[in-house]
Order: sequence, then structure tokens, then C-alpha cells
Amino acid sequence: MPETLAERVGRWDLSGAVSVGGDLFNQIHERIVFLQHVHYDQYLPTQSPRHQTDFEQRLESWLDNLSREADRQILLELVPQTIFFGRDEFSSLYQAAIRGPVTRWIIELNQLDFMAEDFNTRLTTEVSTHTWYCAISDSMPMSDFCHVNNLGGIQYRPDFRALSELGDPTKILNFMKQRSVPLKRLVLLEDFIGSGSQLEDAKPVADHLLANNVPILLVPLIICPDGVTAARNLFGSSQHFRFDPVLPLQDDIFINALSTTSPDSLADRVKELARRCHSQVVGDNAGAPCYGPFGFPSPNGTGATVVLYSNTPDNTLPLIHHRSDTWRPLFQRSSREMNLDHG
Amino acid sequence: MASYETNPFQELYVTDHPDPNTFVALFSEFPVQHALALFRPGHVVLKGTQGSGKSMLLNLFRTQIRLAYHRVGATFPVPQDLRGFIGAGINLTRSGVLDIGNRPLSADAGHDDALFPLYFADFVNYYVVRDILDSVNTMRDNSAAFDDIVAGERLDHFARALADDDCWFGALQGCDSISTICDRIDERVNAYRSFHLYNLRELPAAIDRTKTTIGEPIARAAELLRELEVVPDGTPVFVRIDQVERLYRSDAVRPEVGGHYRRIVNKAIGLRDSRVWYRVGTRQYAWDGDLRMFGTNDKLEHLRDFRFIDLDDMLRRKEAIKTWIFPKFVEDAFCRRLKQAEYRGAEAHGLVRLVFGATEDPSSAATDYARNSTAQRVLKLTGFSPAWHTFLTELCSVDPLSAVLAAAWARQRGTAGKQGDRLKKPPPIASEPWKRPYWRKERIRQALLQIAARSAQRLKWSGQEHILALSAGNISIFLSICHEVWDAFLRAERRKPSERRRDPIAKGMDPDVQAVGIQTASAYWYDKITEQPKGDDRQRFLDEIAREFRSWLVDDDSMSYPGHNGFSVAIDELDRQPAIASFLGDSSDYGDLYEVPHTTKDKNRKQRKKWYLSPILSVYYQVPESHVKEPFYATGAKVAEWIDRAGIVLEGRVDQSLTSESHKLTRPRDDSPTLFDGV
Repeated sequence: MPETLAERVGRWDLSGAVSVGGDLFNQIHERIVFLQHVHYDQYLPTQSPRHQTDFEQRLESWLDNLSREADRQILLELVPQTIFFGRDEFSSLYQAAIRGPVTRWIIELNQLDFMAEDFNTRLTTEVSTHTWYCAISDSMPMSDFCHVNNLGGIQYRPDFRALSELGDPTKILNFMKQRSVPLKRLVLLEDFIGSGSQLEDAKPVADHLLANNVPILLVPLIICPDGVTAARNLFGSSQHFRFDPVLPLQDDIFINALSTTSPDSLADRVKELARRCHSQVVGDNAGAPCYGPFGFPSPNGTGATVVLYSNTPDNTLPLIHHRSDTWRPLFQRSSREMNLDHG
Repeated sequence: MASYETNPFQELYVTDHPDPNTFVALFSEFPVQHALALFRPGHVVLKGTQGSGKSMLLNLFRTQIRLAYHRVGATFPVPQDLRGFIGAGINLTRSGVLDIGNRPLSADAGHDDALFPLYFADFVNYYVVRDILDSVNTMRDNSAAFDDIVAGERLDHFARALADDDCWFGALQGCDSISTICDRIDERVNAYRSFHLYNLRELPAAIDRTKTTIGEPIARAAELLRELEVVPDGTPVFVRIDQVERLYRSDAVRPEVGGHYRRIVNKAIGLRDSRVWYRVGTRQYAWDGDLRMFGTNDKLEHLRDFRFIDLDDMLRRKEAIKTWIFPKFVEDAFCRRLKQAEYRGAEAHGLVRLVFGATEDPSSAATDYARNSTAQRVLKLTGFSPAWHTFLTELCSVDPLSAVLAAAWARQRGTAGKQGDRLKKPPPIASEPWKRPYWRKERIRQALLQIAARSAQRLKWSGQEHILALSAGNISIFLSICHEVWDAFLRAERRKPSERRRDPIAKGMDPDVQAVGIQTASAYWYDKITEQPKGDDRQRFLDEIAREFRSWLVDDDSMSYPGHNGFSVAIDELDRQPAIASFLGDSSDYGDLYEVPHTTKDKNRKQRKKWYLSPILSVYYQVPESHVKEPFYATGAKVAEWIDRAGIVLEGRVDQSLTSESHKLTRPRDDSPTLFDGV
């Protein structure tokens, strides 16, 4: 009978193998089982019958990609270190976006007086009625965002990436201004921004609105450091543009070609392993592009360890999400377009 | 069979379980028959290390718990002739009494510090009397459960007498029923709480004018219950005070204020008042630290003012294994958990043995550790003659344990010989002295450690004997081991098809699964050290000594010092080093070290105490948990050196000069012959 994962980690512990963090592998497995119940089982891309839906079986297959026990131990230790954003976390991020960045921006734009008796009424009206909430790309679930924040009453919420490609900027402007209750400003949302390349796709329509004095607030819910730079470079010069992310990720959680890692840290070992097994991860290269050992964009990669319940960004280490003829992923990424994908 | 998602040990602590029925189902009555003094007149201090089951026993005084026994048709575990009592009490942590002292009363700190203990006493009085009234009400309303001992028709008369008593200084004036007294008491307790939540600007003046003397209202309530025949004459009133150590070994209150509060509790006990009997739950050293009574220089006297029930002493293993009650206690607790989780077969006799099996014999364990190793590595075969080399290599291939023991024997100098004498002679194959029972028994665990370490394996613990030894008489440790072992078992089993799943009762649990769970339980207790006050210090101290113990035992090729997984210090030295004594006492109290009296083999015959790592932590540190032969004879200076290396600054005096000259850091030889050796 094949060895179960619990038996395997027990064998590692009893043989004297030591994890980088000093925990027993049995403790790491306990933690993974807990996280499976509260987080990993929510992962959408593996819920279709075409995939291995059982997380622990995927985990076993993922570890078995590698033949050396020491490498498998690094992978196992990496699992609870990945940053998984589940549905509950996203609900909180949606609320935080409104209560933080959006509210601050609207108070400042309208110079609302905290002490005024009608402060709450005016703020609610401006937030709910005169502000248009749209997504950068279709990965941002706008209906969930609106439901959680009780925002309604606006018929269209297009994503600006598609709009820039297929839409008419003038019609957009007219839609905002000619409504019986005009939309005075635009909030652009995105669930995750890695390098910021999708912002470029949304830029034409956003630029057109900015040129016509429409204030725009860009609120990424989660953003990597390169995305912050990209957003500022793309729109920062306009006086009508404001950028206020909810959760900017810090530099030190990324493992990429340019990151520095402490010797013998888990990050250091993952970095070495990502490089060493990259050709195996790429395999026949028949599926989605893999970019490099540290993910999109080439050549250095972002090297994120982020997984969203809805999908895994291509900025995350490919050894976590990439599928090929020689690599079975833990969180297989659902790619928008094969070999044309961007983060 | 229960679901494979069910761990019968999921909930470790049932003492504070909101459902009294769960307590009834899981509480093991075994210790009760050995602690019957708790239910007899007299003040009792219930001592025990953390997790030894003090609160669990004290819970039996709670009226709701007694009622729960009646409701589920279970027999209350106290003998019939001792059940006729009124129980009440206070948990110092949960009652909110420790908030007193955290908010200034006035601008004069000295004035405040004088008043805080009086308010503390007042709060305790009111809280406990309220609990007595609750108990009486419950006993009246459920008379069948309490053998009709409360005469409900007399309660109003009692209430009026109690309200009129001068112990209250008029605070209950006008109350004419139990319910009006309860309302008045609640008002006062709520005023204390509101004040400390800053919901009131100041304490009501009425409280300031009517502060009560510690114990007096409680005693008067008890006395009146009997005098007015609400309960039969002679019915004892037991008042439990739990978590006394919170007063002086925690950050719950300022140390000087906590000291006063502690002396208030001492005063209640020291009144030599037979109207009410107190039951105090506390840790070992925490109780002995301060026995003074508030407002006097008198101290509480053991036996005259109170008597001890020492749970650790009761449950730890003694020389005579037949009188050791802990195995029966855990058997009962184990069985109750499995029944509660509806495991099929949970009625079976000897359930712990069925599930965990016997601990693997040492020879098999040694063979297992050495499986992928070589004789050269396992035996460190340098310095042996060809005859010894050949003999040991061959022996190692069939019996690594005997080979390692034989190698160690050869390295020893023997009774009167010189170092190396034995190596010059051929191996005494006919007599096999390394197999003499006592010599071997005392070195088996050290030999296993050396084999495992030289084969790059971890030491494994599994089976009933190991689990009991690691629990060291502490029921919480036993349950946590069961919890982790069961968790490892369930994770290994849950994805197997049902026909392949292992029934843990019918087939037992795999020893390796147990070993994995036990390692995890040990890591859990290691992490828990830092949850207690000054736990960081103690954890670093343990890291220091454990590293040294392991290194001594692994490197001691001749196995001359198999007992050096513990250390011993002369008591007179501890008396001169109170800060060190207090640190070691605290470490024992919190269950990090295991303290045992030590009968010395030193010629000076000085009285000593010895300490070992808490057995459960031995797994984390990979040091044998067994206590054999002589421990390391440490001086105060050596302990101070460990403390210093751990980066600990002790409060109080640590006098190096007292220890540096007369007590050298000696490691007495332990290969000297014993009565049974004759080698």
C-alpha cells in the first residue's frame, strides 16, 4: 500500500530530518490540513472534474514531481508559507477598499466637513450615487464587490481592459455625464496587480477620462512592488489621478532573480530549487507560458508566493501553478489565453 | 466505529467546559478516593503542578456539577456520607477581583495601596456569599438531587437574619428575601466592575463605608444556615479559592499589591474558624512562598491551620509500582473519552494497552535505529584490539544494543583496574558481563541514545510504558499525548479506503505513528513554556541544560555517567542562593523541570534535591526521560553559569563567592560497583 503523506512526514521526522524553520514535518502537515479546510479547498480552478479536486492528492503528486526527499521537504515547507487569499479575505478587502481609500478620496475631493451635521448623508450619497466602480480586468469580481458594499443602481460596470480594446471612449464619458444622476468620478479596481502590465491595456480609456477632468482613483486590492511603480509611471502625472492600494505587499516576501535571501533560509532554498527544477516545470512548454523560474515578467520574474481562491497570478512561482508533461502543479493556474498571457 | 474525523481528545480541558454534562461524562473519579480529605472538615490546600487536575477536583464543589450528575443518572463520585455539604467559591481570574488595584482610587498611591486589600477582601466576601446563596437556591429547587438537605421554607427567615447581621455594616439593610440580598450583592459587585471599566468616576461612597472583614460574612452565612436549620446541623460549607498563584506569580496584579491579596487569603484560612472550610488550589512552590497573614506577622502553620493534598505526590510513580494509581486514572480517563466519541469497543478492559501496545523492547529498537548504519559508526571502533574489533562487529550485526553495551563495558576501568585494562584482554565471551541485569538496565537508554545519534536517527517513544513515563503523573500531559497521537493516526488513515482502515482498538496504533504524535506533543509543551510568566527565561535555561545533558550522554563512550540527564544540588547551597532556589522552584511549579528528593552517594551525606527535564520535554530535547544512577552533581556556581549562559538576570541575590571554592564542578564516576554488579 502506498505511503500516505502523514506517514511520509512521520518517517521524515523519525529519521532526523529537520525543516528549515525548525518545526517537525508532522506539525507542518497538521498546519496544511488545517489550512486545507479553511482555505485551500476553496480554490476554484481545480474544482472541475478535469482536475484533481482533492487537495492532499494534488499535494502528494506535487511533491512527487521531485525525486529527492530533501527537495520534497522544501516544497512541503513552502505550502503554509504561500499567501492564500480566500473568499473571506476578499470580502474584507472589498470593504476595506470602500472604508479606506474610497472614503478618504471622496472626503478630500469634496472637502467634506467632519463636523457638519449632514456629513454622513453627503458622504453616503457621493460614495453610492456619484461614483462609478469599474474593474481593470475581468478577474476582478465586481458583482461581489458591489454586493458586499451594498452598492447598486448603476446599470453597467465594464472592465476597462476590454473597453480600451473594444469600446468608444466618448460613449463612456457621455454615459457618466448624461445620467439623471451624473457619475462624477471613477474608481478602478483590480483584485491583484503583479507587474502592472494589465494597467497598460486599460490606459487608453482611463487617459481619455482624465483628459476630460474625470477624477480617477485606482484601488488595487493586492499589489506587488513592481505594480506600484508601474501604476505611478502610467498615471502619476495627471492631477486627477489618485492611487491608493489596500494591501501593498512588501519586497521581502518575493523570491526572484534580483531578491536577496538569507543563507539557508527557506526562501534561499526555494530560490535554488526553483532554478534547478525549472526545466522540469517547463516540460514540453505546450500549455500556458511559464516565463522563467520566478514567473512573469521575464527575465527576472516577480517570484510571488500568492494564491487567490479564484486563480493563481502568473507572477507567482511557476513551480506552484504551472502544468506541463513533466510537472503537476499544486494550484493549477487557469490561464486566460495560452501563450499570450500577462500578469 | 466513530467517524475518522473524530479525535476523542480534541478538547483537552473539560474543567471550564460550559456544559456540565460534558464534565460528568469525561471526569475521571479515580483521584477522588485518594483525596477524600477534600470533603472532610478542615482547611485544605490542593497542590499540584500545572495541569495536574486541581481545578478539575475543585469543580466537584460546584453545585451545578453535582446537579448534572443527578440529571444524567450518574453517581456523584464523592462517598454518600460526605456528600452533605454546601459548596461555593471564587475563581480569582474569572471573577474580576484581580482588577482591583489596576485603577487608582485617589492621587495618593500610598493611601490606595492600603485600601486595595480591603476592597479585595470585600469583593471576595460578597462574591462567595452570592455563590453560597446560589447553591442553596439550586439545592432547594432540586431537592431530590441533594437529598433534601435544604429546608426551603426557612430561607426567608435566614435571609432576614443574614441581612441584619452586623458583619455587613448595614449594607444589606432592608433586604428581606434571598432574591433581594442577591440583587444587593450584584449591585455591589457590578459597581466594582463598572469602576474598573472606568464606567464610574469613583467607587460609590456606600461601599467605602461598609467594607467587610475577610471571611466574616462568609462564616456568618454558613453559621446562620445551620443555626436557623436551613441545613442540618453539622453540614459543612466548603469554599474553594482557585488560581491563588495568580496573586503573586503573574502579571495580573502589581507584585506588592498581589502580595497583600495573598496575605488576605492566608488570613481567611488562618482565622481558625470552623464555621467554614476553605479549599485552595495552587502550585507547589507558589504556596510556600508567602504564608504571612494580612495585618500581622503571624504565619500559617501546616497541619495546625491547614493540610496539604499533593496531587503530584499522589500521581507520580513511587518505588512500589503496585501502589501507583496514575495508570488506573489514565485508563479511566482514556476510556471515557473513547466512549464519549462513540468508538466501538470502548468498553474493553485495558484499553490503553490495546490502543498503544507495549513499548518496543530495547533490542528491537536498537536494531531499528542501526538498520542503515555500520558497526564502525554505531560502535566508534577506534582503540579496540583486533579480537575486540571482530567480536563487536559480529555482535553488532545481530544485536547492536549488546554490542554498544559491550563496547562501553570494555572502555570502563572496572572496580580496581586501570583505564584500558579490559581492552588489553580478550572479550569475556563466556561471562558476558555487559548483560548483568543492573549494569545493563541502567545503561540501556543511554545506549539507545548513542546508537540513534550515531545512526542519525531520532529517539522514538511509543507504547504504554513510554506514554505513562512521559506523562509523569500529569493527566493534562497524558491527554495531550493522546490528542497528538490520535491526530497523526487520523491523518494517516483518513484517505485510506474504509476496508483498509485500521481499527485502533482492535488492531492498535502503529508505534511509528505514536512516535510522530509524541514528538508533536513534546513540541507543543515546549512552545507552551513561554506562555507562562517568565517562560522565555525558563525555556532558554532548559535549552542550555538539555544541550549539555545530551552532549554528555552521547559522548560518554564508556557510559560511566548514565544518570547525567539530571542534576542535583545540595540543599544548604540552595539556602544560601535563594534566587537560584526560587528560579528552580518556579521551573518545577510550571512543570518545566521535574524535582525529586535526592539521597546522595557523596561521603558528606548532605541533603540534596535533584532535577530532571520534565519527561515530556525529553522528547523535544532528545534525551532519555528515565532516571537512573547518579545525576550530575552541580554546584550553585554551575547552575548560576547555566542561568548566565541562558541570558537570565535573576531577581534577588546570586552570590558566586559562596559557591566557587568549596564546590568544584565535579562529575562523580558512576562506574563504581554497586551492590548488584560484582563485575
